[in-house]
Amino acid sequence: MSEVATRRVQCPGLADGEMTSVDVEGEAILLCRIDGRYHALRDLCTHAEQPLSEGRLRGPTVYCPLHGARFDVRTGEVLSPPATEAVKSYVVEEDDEGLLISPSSDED
Amino acid sequence: MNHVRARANVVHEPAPVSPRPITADRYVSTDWLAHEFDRLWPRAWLFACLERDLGEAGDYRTCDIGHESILVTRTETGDLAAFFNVCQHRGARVMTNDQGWVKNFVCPYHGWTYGYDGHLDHVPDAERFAGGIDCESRSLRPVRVAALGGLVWICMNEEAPPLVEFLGKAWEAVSPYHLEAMTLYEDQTVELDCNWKAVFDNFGELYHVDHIHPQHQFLFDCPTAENHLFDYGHTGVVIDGHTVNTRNPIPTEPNAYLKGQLRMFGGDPDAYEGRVADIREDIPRLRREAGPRLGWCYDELSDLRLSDIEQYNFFPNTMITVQPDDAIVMRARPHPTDPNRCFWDKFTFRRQPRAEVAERAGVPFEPHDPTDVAEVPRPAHDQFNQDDIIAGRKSMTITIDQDIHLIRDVQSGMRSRGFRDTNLSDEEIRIQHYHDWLDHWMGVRSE
Repeated sequence: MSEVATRRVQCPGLADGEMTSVDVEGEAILLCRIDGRYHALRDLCTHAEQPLSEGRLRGPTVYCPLHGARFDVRTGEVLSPPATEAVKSYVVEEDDEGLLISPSSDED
Repeated sequence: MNHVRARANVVHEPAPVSPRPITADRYVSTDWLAHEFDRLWPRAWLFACLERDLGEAGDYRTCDIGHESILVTRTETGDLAAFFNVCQHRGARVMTNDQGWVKNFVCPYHGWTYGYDGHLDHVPDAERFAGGIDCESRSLRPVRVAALGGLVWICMNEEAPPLVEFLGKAWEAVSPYHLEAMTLYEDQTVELDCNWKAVFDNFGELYHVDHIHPQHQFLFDCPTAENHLFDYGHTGVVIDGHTVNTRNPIPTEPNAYLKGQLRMFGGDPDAYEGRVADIREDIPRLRREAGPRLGWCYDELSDLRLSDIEQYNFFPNTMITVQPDDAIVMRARPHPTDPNRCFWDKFTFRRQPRAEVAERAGVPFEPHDPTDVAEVPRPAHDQFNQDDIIAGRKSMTITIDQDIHLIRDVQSGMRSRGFRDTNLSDEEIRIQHYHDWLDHWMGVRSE
């Protein structure tokens, strides 16, 4: 996905506590809904590059299914070993036409 | 008026060795710490984690004690399972964090893959192992596991008695409070600059209460507490509650706490002017009358338990405090290498009001605080150090904070050449009993 562009995706209609993976210009993006708001991360664990969408979402924490690394879906922050790097996160806005996903402002 | 109500007989099961002064080395010596990792921790049942945290197959917790790490999980058949957290290929840790969910237990080193039942399900490039791989013998090595009251216990010792037998009468006392039905409100760990037994000892006596817990004189009558001594080194203490320290003059009117309790259970604080000592007698009746309306069921608790507080210390390192509507489970864990440091865990539980209790009793449901009925998400684990407590940034209740303020200085003193062994009062009999059993387990006495 372009580093600077905002991309629109169809709203996946998730309930709170649900997550899904969507393809955005060839990149797998993890969409999660927490407390009525959508959050988006790259759908790839930074430890061994497994899809986080195959893990579990508990509250704001996603668990990688392979070795159990945990990330905060609101920020991409790494919460546990064996991962040591944050997952790339995106800003998500919801409107009547779906979701707008853009790179977060504190990206390098 | 005689407010003493008869309790069940005080239990004093003797230790297998006679009482001796408790020596300083067990608190400060690295040799003793190492010896505990050999003689104590691998042989006893240990409280590992909460059953509620293993709700789905694949949920796991790792419980570390010294250099050992035990992996506890829920299998696909709904059973609990526990294993040494070590890959049977070349000894790497399989799960490298404290808790989570995974699809399988996959060693991060070479991808050896184990099922939730510990069975070795997959070995990458298995054809490269001359003679093949015996998946049965190379499965994760099991550790005994059992749950009681929503607490999961593990034991690395195949020869130990069953958990129920090990916990014995002390657990029988805790069981009717049904911790498994209480809501978890806090999950905390404080790193302390003291030996794990120094903090556990602190909760093994009430002799210090008058000196460092001034608020207790308005809540409990600690000087008249009953001490119980059980097999395997467990102990218990039963303390009169909803009263005041009877060493002091009884006040003429109830204090703020007692007034609040009376009002909550439908009593009239003004009716106890001049007869504060009667509150403890009346609280059980008021609780039973008000309980259903408030959404609390007390059918399994005796009258004494509806006024009083009880605490049970389970050898070697877990203590449970129970009152009718709340409980605290605490655990002392040794530092892996430094006898002068430890970890102190606290799980705070409360019994939430339930509408169905009122429904069964045929009364309207009117919880004391309507917000108490709300769904409480599982609290995050909060870990901090004792300076956070001392600075007021964190709290584990005022009482525990007061203990923590002191405990570093206790350990410092014990490291002195000027301290050799203890001289205990009869009130500190639970500490004596515990250490007599500890000496027995450690094999440090020849009698």
